[in-house]
Amino acid sequence: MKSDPQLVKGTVRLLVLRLLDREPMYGYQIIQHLRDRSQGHFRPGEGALYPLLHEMEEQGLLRARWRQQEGRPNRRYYHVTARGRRELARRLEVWRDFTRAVDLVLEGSHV
Amino acid sequence: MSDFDEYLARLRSALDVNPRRAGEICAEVRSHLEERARQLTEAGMSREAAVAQAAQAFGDPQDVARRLTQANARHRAVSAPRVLLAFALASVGLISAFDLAFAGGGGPWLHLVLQPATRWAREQGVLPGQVLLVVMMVVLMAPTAVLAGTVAGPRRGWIAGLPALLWGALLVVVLGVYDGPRSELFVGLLVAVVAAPAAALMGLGGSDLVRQPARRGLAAGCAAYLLVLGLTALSGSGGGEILFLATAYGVILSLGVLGSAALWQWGKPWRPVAFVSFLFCAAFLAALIRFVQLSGRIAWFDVAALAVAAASLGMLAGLWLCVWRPARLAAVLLSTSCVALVLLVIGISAVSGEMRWFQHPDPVWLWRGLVAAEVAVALGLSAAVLATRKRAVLGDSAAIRAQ
Repeated sequence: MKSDPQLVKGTVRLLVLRLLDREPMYGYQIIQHLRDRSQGHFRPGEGALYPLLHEMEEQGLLRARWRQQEGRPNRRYYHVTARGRRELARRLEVWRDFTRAVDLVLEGSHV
Repeated sequence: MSDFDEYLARLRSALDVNPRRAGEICAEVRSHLEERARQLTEAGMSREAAVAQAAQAFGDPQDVARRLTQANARHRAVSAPRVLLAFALASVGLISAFDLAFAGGGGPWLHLVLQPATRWAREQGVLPGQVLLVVMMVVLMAPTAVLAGTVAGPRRGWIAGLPALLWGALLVVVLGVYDGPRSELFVGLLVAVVAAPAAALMGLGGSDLVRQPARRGLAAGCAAYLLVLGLTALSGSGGGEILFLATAYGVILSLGVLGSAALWQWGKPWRPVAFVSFLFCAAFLAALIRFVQLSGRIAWFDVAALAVAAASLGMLAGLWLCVWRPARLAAVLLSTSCVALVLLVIGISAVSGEMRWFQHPDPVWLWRGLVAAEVAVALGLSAAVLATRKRAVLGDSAAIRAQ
């Protein structure tokens, strides 16, 4: 499956918010979920995801908490804050409007 | 000990956040890398290969650290030495600018710029004359205030205004016990009231002006500036010429560093800035030579030698601080040492011979020194180009990052 890097870059934030809204996850888990659920379409760079997560944390959209792991390094779990949920709702609305508008044009061009 | 210690050490050294946050980031990255390596070993890969692949997939530690630093702006490192250096620099800038503007001591700046200007202003009345001197002082302290802000770091550039503020506060305190002429206090207060916000603003501008690698270069420029000021103070000669030379040295050095760092690090969009910096350097140098020729007090050989050597050193300091690979580092270090040697000899001679060189220059030696310095610069740059085998020296920052 081909993907446009610019389009992917613009949507990763929305997808991360959506994933974390369902359940708290740690960085590596987010990467795996994004890759598996999109059937390999979204493959964010491993070193690129953490700056994004930290930026969203700085903006108050996410909050992180350490969880102890037996015999393994501790993991830092991210979850969505109330502000993050509002941002998710806003981005979802924008996304749906955008895809609806694109569909309208694409369908119209077949007529 | 962990297999990722080396990678994490490189990441940590490149992070510009406070130690607590840096520790947290490294722990999170370690957790990620360990999990990735474990998954790869479970898939049949050897531990060594898995570790290497996990680190490679995470990316170049310097690049990752740069992005993480940007993302963690709230946790930027507050380094006490850096703040102290910024404060010291702003204080030195304020004092030397005040000295040059108000108590010049017969320096060329006073003779050729301030006196004609103030004579005109004084004809208009006392107040415009004092105000003009204050404006001159602010202009003179501008480079150091900008540099202090740059050293202090993002959002802490206001530190550059602290010395003037403290000065003003001190004057207010002594107001009650001071027996001398009130006009002196008035001028002092005027200076503090104008200089404090001006320096703070310039410092804030400086703190937002450049990114991390260039800040290191500028910090080195500041240190060299302070060193030269110290040397000239030790020479015991005092007077406007020395302060004037030291200020000129500081301005040229700083602009040289800023220009070279911009040229090197930031690539195309910043090249006009670098170009303007160098044009300003050249214009400043030309003006300097003209003033000195007119004043007849300092041989222009000395000023030119000092200025060119300083600019070269600034450029090399910028290059030196923007490269990390051993081959490039060695090449640039070698040429930096050559130029530093020339400057050192000039400095030692200036101190030991009570600035004899500045009164009776030996043109032959100076020109030899200059040529040696310029050859060293050319050799260093060529070696750096050969070492990188890329267009890195002339500003392809993407290529540098890609390495």
